[in-house]
This record gives sequence, structure tokens and C-alpha cells, in this order.
Amino acid sequence: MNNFKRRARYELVFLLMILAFCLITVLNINSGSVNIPLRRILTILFTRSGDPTEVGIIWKIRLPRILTAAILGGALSLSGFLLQTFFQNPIAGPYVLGISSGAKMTVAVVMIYFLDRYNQVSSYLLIAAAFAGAMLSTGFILLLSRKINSMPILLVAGIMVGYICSAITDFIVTFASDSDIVNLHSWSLGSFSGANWGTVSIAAWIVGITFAAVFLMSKPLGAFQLGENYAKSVGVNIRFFKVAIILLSSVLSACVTAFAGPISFVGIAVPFLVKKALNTANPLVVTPALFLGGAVFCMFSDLIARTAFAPTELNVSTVTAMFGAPVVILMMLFYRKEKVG
Amino acid sequence: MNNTMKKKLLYALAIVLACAACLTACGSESSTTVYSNKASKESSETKSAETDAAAPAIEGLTYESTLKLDYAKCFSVYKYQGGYSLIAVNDGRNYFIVPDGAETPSSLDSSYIVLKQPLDHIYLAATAAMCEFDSLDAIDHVLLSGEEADGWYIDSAKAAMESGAMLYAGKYSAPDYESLVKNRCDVAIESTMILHSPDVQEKIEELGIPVFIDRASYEPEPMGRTEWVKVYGVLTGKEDKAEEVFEEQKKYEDALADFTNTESTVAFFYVNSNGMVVTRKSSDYIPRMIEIAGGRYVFKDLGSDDDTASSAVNMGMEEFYASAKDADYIVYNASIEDPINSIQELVDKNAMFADFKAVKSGNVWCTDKSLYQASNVNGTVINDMHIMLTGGSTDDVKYLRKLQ
Amino acid sequence: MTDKYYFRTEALSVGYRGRTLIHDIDIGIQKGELVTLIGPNGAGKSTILKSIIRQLAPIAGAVYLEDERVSRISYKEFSRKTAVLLTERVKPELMTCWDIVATGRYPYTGRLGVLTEEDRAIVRKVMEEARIEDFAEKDFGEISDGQKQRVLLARALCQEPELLILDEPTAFLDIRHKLELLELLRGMTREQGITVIMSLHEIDLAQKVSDKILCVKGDKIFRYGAPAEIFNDALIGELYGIENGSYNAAFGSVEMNKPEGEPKTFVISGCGSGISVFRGLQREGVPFEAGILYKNDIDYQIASSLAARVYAEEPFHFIRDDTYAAALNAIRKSEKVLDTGVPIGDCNHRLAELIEEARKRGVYQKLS
Repeated sequence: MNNFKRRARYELVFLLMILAFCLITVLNINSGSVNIPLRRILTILFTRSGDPTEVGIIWKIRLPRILTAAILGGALSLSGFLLQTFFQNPIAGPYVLGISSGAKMTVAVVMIYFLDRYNQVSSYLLIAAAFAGAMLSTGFILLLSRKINSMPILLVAGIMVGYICSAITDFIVTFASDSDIVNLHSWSLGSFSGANWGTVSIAAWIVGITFAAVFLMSKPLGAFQLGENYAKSVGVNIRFFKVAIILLSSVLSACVTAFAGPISFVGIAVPFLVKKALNTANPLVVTPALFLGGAVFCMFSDLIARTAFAPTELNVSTVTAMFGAPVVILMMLFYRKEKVG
Repeated sequence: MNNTMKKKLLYALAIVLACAACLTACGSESSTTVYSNKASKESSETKSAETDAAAPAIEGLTYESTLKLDYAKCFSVYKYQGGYSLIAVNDGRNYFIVPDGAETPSSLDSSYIVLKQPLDHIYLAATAAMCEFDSLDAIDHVLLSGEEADGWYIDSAKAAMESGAMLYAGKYSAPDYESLVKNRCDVAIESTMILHSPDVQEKIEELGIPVFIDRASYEPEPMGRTEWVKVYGVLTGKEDKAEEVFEEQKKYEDALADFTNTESTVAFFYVNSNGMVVTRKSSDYIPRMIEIAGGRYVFKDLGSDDDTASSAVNMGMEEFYASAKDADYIVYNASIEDPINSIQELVDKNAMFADFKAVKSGNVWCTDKSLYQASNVNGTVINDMHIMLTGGSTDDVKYLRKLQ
Repeated sequence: MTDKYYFRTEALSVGYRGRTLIHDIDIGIQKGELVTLIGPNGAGKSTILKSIIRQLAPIAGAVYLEDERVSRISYKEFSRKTAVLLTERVKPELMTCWDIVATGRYPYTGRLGVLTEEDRAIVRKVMEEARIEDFAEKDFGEISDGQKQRVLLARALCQEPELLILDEPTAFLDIRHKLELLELLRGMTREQGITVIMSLHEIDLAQKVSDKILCVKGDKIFRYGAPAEIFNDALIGELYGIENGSYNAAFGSVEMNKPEGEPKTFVISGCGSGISVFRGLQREGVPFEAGILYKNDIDYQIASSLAARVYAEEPFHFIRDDTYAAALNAIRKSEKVLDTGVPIGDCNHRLAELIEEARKRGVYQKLS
């Protein structure tokens, strides 16, 4: 019956998103401080031959960056969606469990103590530190979730963990030199500029596997939309489910924070937009759509971040906030309307 | 229907994972060279250790001489027959300079960073080093700058940017990689700030551009800092000019060798936006300059227990007042925050300054804002301080100003 | 009569966080029976239900489903046998009624929860039975509470349960929807042999729709049995601790408290004509006496609850002397005598004399 209408809607939205994705990819590949005509770009992409400078620019600079933005953007919106379903709260974002605060804390420790004493750190150390810090927060939340059964209280606990980590970071910063603080600050605003193929492949693997896992959890996710008790009554193993959701969303958020720093708003704005566009919250349909949507949003933001005031680069979070915040405001208005009206 | 749906979905999943695998394969093609990270880790424990007195042997090359250094401790330059040089910096990084048109020796130590002359497409993100190029008349060697035109106090640099001869290529933490590649940058000269953004350094190196880290600010002696002009002399092939420039500056310090210290105390600081006083450790080069100039730094032993690399010390007004209120002279450091133009402005920052001896006697001076871009003229600055300490004519002072 | 129970509990103790609320619950339910839990607020009805559906761990004892310990059954298997309808408000995002009902098929769908054509057919059929096909495409948030309950019930039915547990399913519904829902449940027990365990606050409905009643009060099961055994006026009053009214088991209705004080008003009524008068006097707080009422007259039931004194006569008898004397005495002391217009026949002809007495004293008032 009306299944038809729905199917048609999904197909339309997906088509549009794939088109947007292709368009944004082309735009991204085509822009930069160096002008390379599209034809040459295509040759370089498919045959890897041509002027070595241009090949270098396309393969070493633009492509890894575009791919990182796409993968991490998808990861963020997926993480946001998971947490919103979990807490049944549409403003839960990927960092609500203190992930970015935890990551910032360990990065601050590494930047400020290690650098002063050991003079050199590899970027992989910083990435590992950020990831470790994020998972530290997650571990703490998981421990708490064994005792706390009420969702709103767990949410508050997550926010508190975030505050604790921020406090520790501020404490460390008090004893740091100005140069360290500047760097920590710009790290925490997020950027895709350091992307290379190494990070792309690691991110791709982590996010790819997590995406598959989330997709396979579509059924309990769908059951959970009616609330924890009803989900239990249709046979969902709630204990396992809760741990899995926290872990999966944390891995996604940690991945983003580690490779690009905390990037705000993608995790809140994109799920909202995608769900409204598809007019459903069915995880089977929404999960891939979200990933696409997040990729497009992030690539778009990164495009603006690096071209708007070239060669000065804006931090990605600045741009995502500019576009994402109005969306969130709209959403709050909508939400209130539905509640009241 | 269920089965075909399932199949479709499994295919989709397989595609996702295949993509991830593809990306890994793509990435493995390009090799990332990591320059001497290991070597630097080992030697970094001994930060201020002198580089090996014995020149390293390089297969295929005959050692000629070691550059004589008067004050610098953080680097050594070894010269080899054929115009080759090796700059060994105490952070463990060794830069091997290959003259224009010459071959790079095949069995060179793989940890050496090769810089091929002419180095005239330089990306300079270490703003403190621009002055060296200026004094060497080698501004044209710098093509890409890490600072916008209005951020330079050095006229020749400013002019070059305004004329388009020098381009802005993004600051050190977010360079425009495409611009670096397109403009065929041959070396990126960075300050130690780059160590806080390792991913940027790695990316630059991945693109095949060697990274040179300027460590002049780690020299304990102020003239040691100025002696780094010799390093840049080697890089730009203007070693004679470098010698000449350095001797000019050295004259100032030599002239004060027999001067009896006035024993007047000098406080050197600025007030930051949080209201804290930021001053220097006693081991820093500025107190050393004060001493050479014939004065004493008001803090005898500040920061000796703090072994971090930073030489700035934050303290609250109360503590500063207790130690420095009897200083004979105040020199306000205007190279970081805005300069002050009158003694009243200092008192406006904190009323307690009114009780300082230097304020009461009107001996308040302020540095030029460009001081941090002028490490090539430390000799002149020492001379300025000497004039201040001995009450000489204020017309002769170049980098300090007496405030009313 | 089979001795084998479909559902039973054995020394079951339930409670939260190790503290026992109710202990030693031993009940047995046959297949296809409808059992209702009644009892005061906070007595533990929800706790018992939650323990049965395994949302709360029992503190002691066991629950058996067809002689199998429920704790041994896997969650998946259990969800194919048991479905629930809870009190909590459901707030799903962007789900149509069809979507909600379809989630009931989860115990039967595959890894990714995709519905087969067969699943869809079941959903359609269930929606028809629950009479909700008209708003299948509407967003769940847009329909009324009554419709929502039917949707959630349909969802439960999609699980093809043998046992249906409902926690106050009629709580937010108006009288029409209450009746509809209960009728639906009753139909299921009759036609499909589904066993239903639920809790209700509307004891009058519980009395009418249930096969067995479970009274929960204090820390034990107060009473368990058929409605006929449970529903008498005194028991209900005791179960709920009613002080401000009374419960009429025969009618299944509730009456307010008797007005206090010495009655000065006498109401002559019968055949139901007095009910509204009695209630009116109760609202005014005016104590009254009623008579002479036959014990099989419906006025008698209400008068027993509301009047200070009832002068009653055995059914199918002529009014006897002692009854008449007492009533006459009362009329002589009354300040007001209300006549609701009860028909006077052979049996109760003496009422006419009472009326005459009232007229003579000038206290007679005929209500039309």
C-alpha cells in the first residue's frame, strides 16, 4: 500500500544524497590554491601519471583530505544517531559522554609534558593519545552504566565526566607555556589538514568495521525506539545492547577526535536533517543515509574551511557551527512545537 | 523476498569493507619518510650537550675544516672538499648541504637531511629567522612566508610581500601544502613550535620537502643567538657576508669586556591579559644581555628548579612586587603584548607599580615591538642597554625607548 | 477439569533492590483465563507484573510457564510466548502506527529485522482485529490515547503470544474505549485461548470481565478467586481501606458516604424512583430514612448505602405489622416526607397509609 510511497521517498533521498556526494567530491578535488583543470585531474586520478607536482598535489594533499573528511563526517553522524537513540534525546551529540574532553586531556598531557622533556613526538603518538583519552572516558561511563539504570542520570554522568576531564586539562594548562596552550587550543578546534594515506586507511578500517557492526544492530536499535522496557519484551538483551551502543559510538567519536580533533555539530545536525528528509527513524534505512549525509556535510564544511580565506585555513568546527547551529536551533523550535502542539 | 533482501544488504556490507581495503592499498603506494625521529629521541636527553668535536666521516668526501664559533653552542658546521657542508644541530638533526650542481654522495647516512643548493624557494615559518636573511641581503631566497605582510617588522620582508615577490603560505600550524608543492619549495624553515604539530612536519616531509628547525632561541648566550647568522650563511651560500655581519655585532660585546658592572638592577617583564607578570628565568639570554651590558638582572636565581624548555615565568603581582620593587630600571617587554607609551600606562595596568623604585625615579624603558624579529642585532641591543645603564644619550638607542 | 496449570507461581517473592514487597505468591492460572490484579496504589501490582515478564528479578521463588521455569527460557523464546502492554508513555520518533505494530514481529524476523510478506500479512490482520487500519499511516504521536492503546495492544498481538500481560491498560481511556479494549481482550481469550494477566483500577470493570481476581494488599496476596467470591461489599472496603464511601458489589458501583446526623427526612420510594433523590440528599448532606422498601427493589441497594435507616420488607410479602409500625413511628417524627411516586399495589398498599399520616401532619411532599 503506502509502502510504495515510502520506498519512493527513500530512493529519492538516497539518490539526491549520492548526487550531492559526487558533486561535493568533484568540487573538493577541483579546488585548492593550485588550479588544475578537471580533465588533468581525471587523468591523474585514474592513471597516476602526469606532472609530478600536480600528481603530488592531487594524490598526497587533496585526496587524503577529502577521504578523511568523508569518512570522519560519516562516523560523527552515525555516532550522534546512536547516542540520540540510546538516550531518546535528539540533542545528544557524539561528545555527550565526555569523549572529546577525555581526548583533549590526554593530548594536553602529551603535548605539555612529553614535548618539554623529550623534544619530539610523532603525530601517531598524539593520535594514539587522543584515542586513549577518549576510550578512558568511555570506560568510566561503562563502569557507571552498570550501577546507573536510569538514562537521564547516565546522561548527566557523562556530562560530569566531561567536566572532570576539562577541569584536569585546565589544571595542566595553568602550568604550561603560552606556546603549548595555543597549539592545544587549535587542536581542539579540529582540522583535516594533516591527513595522509596512513590516517585514511586506519580510519577507514576502524570506521568501516564499526559501521558494519552498527548496521547489524539495526534490529535492536529499532526495538529500542519504543523504550527500554518494550525492547526487553521483544527479546533484546538490554545489558549487552547498552554496552555495545556506548562502545560503538565511542569508537566512532574517538576516531574522529584522534584524527581530526573534536568537530562539533555534525553529530547533531545531520541525523536530524536525514531523519526528517527520510521521514523515518528506521535504522536499516537511516544508517547508510546518515553516513552519506555526514560525509557530504563534512566535505562541504572542509571545502569552505580551506578555500574561503585561502591560504589562511579556518578550523572546521567554525564552519560546521556556522551551518550546523542554525539547524540545531530550527530543530529545537520544531521539537517544542511538536510537544506543545 | 527476505533472502534477496538479505543478499543485497550483505553485498552492500561487502562493498563497504572492500572500500576500506582499497584505501589501505592506495595509501601503501606512497612512502612516508620520517626524518631522524629516532636519532633525535636518543640525543634529546642531553639537550645542551655539545656536538661531537670530531667531525663525522662521510664516505667519498674529504673533511676540510670545522667552522670556528665564538659563542654558539647549539650547532656545529663541518666543511668538506667540494663545497659540501654538514650542519649538526644539538637536537640530533644533521643537515647535509649539497652545492648547486653537485652529486649527493650515495652512501650518505640515511638520517642526514639533504638540502640541495641553491635554496631559494624557502618557506620561512620561523619568524625569528627572517632578520638573518635580511642582514645577509638574502630576502630573495625566501619565497613563501608563514606570516602575512603586515606581520613583519623587517622592511625588506614587508616590501617583498607587498610586491608579490614573497607569498603568504599559511602559518606554521596550517601551511598551504598545495602552494608549497606548486612553488617547488626546497626547504621549510620552522621554529620549534612545529614540534607541537608533528602531523604538519610529517606532511611536509611526506611531500618531499625537508624541514629545517631553527634552534637559535635555545642558545644560552645572546651573541650565540646572533651567531646563527652563520648557519643561514651556509644555507644561502653567503658565508663571507655572515662572518662580516657577525663581527659587526661582536664588536659591541667585545667593547664591554672590561667594563665594571654598575650593579644596577634591571627588571624585564610584561603584564599579560590575565594580569599576571611574565618575566624571564635567570638563565635566559635577556638577563645575560643585561649582565654583559653592565647591569644585574633583578632575579638572582629565578626558575632554576624548573627544567622545562620554556624560559618564561608567570608570577602574581604580589610576588613580583616583593622581589622587584627595588629594581633600579624597568624594561617593559613589548614584543609580545602591546607596548606601553608612558609610565602612567604601566601604573594603569596595576596600581602597585607606583611604588616601584624605577617608577618613582623615572627609569622606565620599553622595548621595540620588533624585538623578537631582531635576534640578529643582539649586540646593538646590548649596547642600548649599556647606554641606559650608564645614562648615555637616548638618541643613540635603537631598540629601547625611555618612557615619560 | 485439568489440574495442570498453564501459568503458576511457586512461593514467589517480589520487590526492588533486595527489599521484598510481597512474598509467598502462589497462584495458578488456566489457559485462556483472564486474571485481574486489584489493590490499593503502591500495593505492588506493577511489581508482580514486572517480575512475571522478567523486567525485574524475583527475590525468591519461581514462575512457571507450562511447567517450565521461566528463568530457564531464553529471552527470545520468552518473547514469542509473552507480550506486554505497559503503563509508560511511549515516545517514538517518526514512527507510523504501522511501524509500531510491526515491531511486534521482532521475535520472528531475521538478523536485520526485515519483515517478510508473511509478517506483513500478520500485521495487517492484527490491525484489522484491533480496528486500527484507518490510521495505520498516521504518525503515532498524532492519535488519541485510546487509539494509542489499541495500537500497542495490536503490537503485542503481533508477537503471537500465549500470555498477554497488561499493566493498567485502561488508565488514560474514556469509558467507551475502556469497554472496547476489554471487549477485545475478552474476545482474544475466548477465540484464541490467550491467557491474560492484567492490573486494573476500575474494580467494577474487573468484576465484570475477569475469570479470576487477585487482590494485592500489604505484603501478601489478600485473596485469590473468582469474582463472585471476592466481590462483596465488606471485602472491597477492607482491601482498599475505603472510608469515604462504600462499594456495592451487586451493582459493581460505588456510593459516597452516608450523610451524618439524625435523620429528619423520610423518603417513600421504590422501583428505582428513589435513587436520584437519595443521591441528591447525600450531596446536600441531609441525613434521611428510607422505606418501606422491598429487599429486591433496586432502591433498597442504594438506600442501604446512603440512608441512615432503611425500613425493609422481605420480597413478595405483604408489608408486615412490625415493619409498618416502625415506619409509621419514623414518619411521625419526621419533619419532611418525600414521595417519589412509587406505584402502590396490593402488596405495598400500606404505603398509602403512611402517606396519609404524613399528609395529616402536614409534612408531605410529592416529588414528580
